[in-house]
Amino acid sequence: MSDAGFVVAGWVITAAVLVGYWLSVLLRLRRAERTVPPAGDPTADPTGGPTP
Amino acid sequence: MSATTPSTTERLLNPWVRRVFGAAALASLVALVVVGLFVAPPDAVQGDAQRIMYVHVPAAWIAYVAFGVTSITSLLYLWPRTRSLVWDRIAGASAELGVVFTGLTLVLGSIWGRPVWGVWWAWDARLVTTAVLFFLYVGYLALRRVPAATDVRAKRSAIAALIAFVDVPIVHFSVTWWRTLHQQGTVFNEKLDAEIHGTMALALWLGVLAFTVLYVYLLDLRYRLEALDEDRETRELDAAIADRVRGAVGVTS
Repeated sequence: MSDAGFVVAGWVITAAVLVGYWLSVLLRLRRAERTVPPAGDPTADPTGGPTP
Repeated sequence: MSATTPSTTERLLNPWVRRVFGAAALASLVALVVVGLFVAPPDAVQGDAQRIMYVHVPAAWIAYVAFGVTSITSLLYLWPRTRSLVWDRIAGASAELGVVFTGLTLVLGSIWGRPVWGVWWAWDARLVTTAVLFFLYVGYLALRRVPAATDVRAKRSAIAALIAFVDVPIVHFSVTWWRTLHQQGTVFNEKLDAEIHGTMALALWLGVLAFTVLYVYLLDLRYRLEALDEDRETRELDAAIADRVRGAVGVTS
């Protein structure tokens, strides 16, 4: 591989890691926000109620 | 809710400031691509391969910053006068960023090492201590996921973070303490005399700036996630306890 090939590989991996991590945080954030109980119901059970 | 339960709307930055940081990170990263790949000249010795430095060094810088922030906030948590779960959440959020950027530093160093040193990896003091740093903080993140009461988890995580941080100065000074394949510091060397000039220095500082702004933006997002996860865990624990109590009442009645 030429020097340019290593440079392109390095920069592409950097972009992939940064964008991938940013998207993973956003997805985890969306998922976490969906578990937040509605306002006025702070005791809502995120597990969907007591297990049988 | 218990007194330690976070507000689910808690953030480090207000949404407007966060958007400014996000836009500034994107703009500075685009500028870095232009200056680092097209404007800065090739190195006299290493040729184009040296352009990996413009992302490798900023990634290593953010690893230091992230673990530094984790250590300072861990100390603030352990200090009784400043104890707050806010510090614990910042420590956890920053450590995850530190692990991502340390991993990136190792991968970029390997890609840079292949054309310059002729090998992907060498058992060199700088490389080994950086790999140790990566695994120390992976361990720290694993420790944070061990179920426990919030304050117990926060305290043991803070102690682990401070122990792990001992490796950061070892990583930094490894190139001066031992004879290494890795080059000496270009900017933060012993004489504090930056041995880099002109457009190359501009690209390097642009990289440091872009990654720092991106770190602040990601830290805010990750902090919010930490607060929401903590909130959910507390509610799940409360629900499980209530469930057990209901079960016990049912057995005795």
